[in-house]
This record gives sequence, C-alpha cells and structure tokens, in this order.
Amino acid sequence: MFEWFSLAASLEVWKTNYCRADFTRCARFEASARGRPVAPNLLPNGSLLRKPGART
Amino acid sequence: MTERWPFWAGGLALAGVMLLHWLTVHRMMSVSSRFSAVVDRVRWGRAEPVEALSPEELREALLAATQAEAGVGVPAPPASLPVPQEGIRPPQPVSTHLLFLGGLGVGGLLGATLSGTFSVTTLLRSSELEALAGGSGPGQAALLVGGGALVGFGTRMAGGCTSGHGLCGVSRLQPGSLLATAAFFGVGVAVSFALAGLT
Repeated sequence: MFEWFSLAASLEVWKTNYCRADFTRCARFEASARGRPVAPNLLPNGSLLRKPGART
Repeated sequence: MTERWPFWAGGLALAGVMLLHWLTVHRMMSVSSRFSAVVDRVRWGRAEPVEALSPEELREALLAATQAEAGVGVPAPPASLPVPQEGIRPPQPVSTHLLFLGGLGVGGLLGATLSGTFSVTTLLRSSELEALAGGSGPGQAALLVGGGALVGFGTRMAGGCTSGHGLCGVSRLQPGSLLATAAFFGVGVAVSFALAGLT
C-alpha cells in the first residue's frame, strides 16, 4: 500500500499523516508491530477499503 | 531408485510446480506464509472478512477514503496507478493452507515410498549433524526442533522462504527477494562449511 501512496501525488496525504508524522499511529504499522496479520484492505487510519457504495 | 535427481531436473520440476500453482490458483506459491496464516488463525482467531475489490473498485475506494482523510476534495488517483492487477483479493481460507501443507507431507511420503527409501527413524543420517548433536535421539530431535524454530523466525522476519523469495520473487527479479535468497543461501553454504570443518 505504501508504494501506491508513493506513486500518486493525490495520495500524498497518507504519507504526510502516517509515515512522516507519528508513524506509530498508523494502523498497519501498529498491527504489524503487534505481530497481527495486516489485512490487505486496511488503511493507515484504521478504516477498511470497501466496495464503493457499501455501508461502512 | 535412491539417487538424487540431477540439478536441472529438480529445477525444472520446481519451476513446473510453481507455474502449475500460478495457472490453477492464480496466486504466488508460498509455504512459510501459509504456515504463518495457520499460526495467526490459532493465535488471533478468525479475522474480519476481506472484501474482494477489482482494480477499478480499488481506485475508487482509495479516492473516497483519501477525500475523507484529507477533508477536502483531492484529485482522483491516475488510472495508471499501479494497484495490483487482481485488485484486492480475500486471503485463502485456513483449510486451503492446511490442505497445501498436508500435501507437502503426503507428497514427500509418496516420493519416498515409491523410490523405496521410506523408513521411520529417530536418528539423523548426517555425519556432520551427528557430530554436532551426538548419536542420541533426543539430542538430534532437539537440534531439529531448534533448527526448525530458527527457520520459522528467519522466514517470518524476511517475509518469505525459499519458495516465496527463492522461486517466485527471484523469477520476478524482486530486489528484496534477490537479497533475501542471496542471504539465506549464502549463510547456508557458510554453515555447511563450518559443520564440515567440525567433523
């Protein structure tokens, strides 16, 4: 997911908020650091990528 | 038949298995990550289901999530954004991992039986390891368990093993896989020479 954020300027906000700032609040980092599996659709803010239009 | 296959036949067979796995399952073949998935399931329980997303759905969902995160309108990610061509796919169920791992054991058993080399023993058949662990069963068993734990630790830390990094990653020229494979084969050769020096 990090590489997606690196390759599109419009996704820069994720890197700004969760990589360059306090990376310990990145949900992906947190799960990985605790040894938990990291879901492929888990975003750094803890929300999940879902089908457009689906209820969250 | 007790002789080992020539190196080229072994290489072709491994490449064939990897290709067959890709063509039938459409996923990279891995062993250690399947084992990790089983351990994760035991340790953490059932994970929240992951919804499958096509590349287009993934880009759209990513845009919506980014706009929500930024709090303002942001331009859509370019259509060329290199998301995986399969989008996001749910992980395979644990039963599939268990079937695959069980198949490894059954395949080995079948191969040994057909070649007439199958036998049950508690002792290693390596003079180097015998020199290291002694001739006793418990000592050799402890060595095997310790070695297995180290392999598990290393593959988890490296994010893959000889199948994931060595076969799939190297064939796709992934830099991390090239480095990982060079590291674990290099260390393997060094340890082999060190063990040979002990005997």
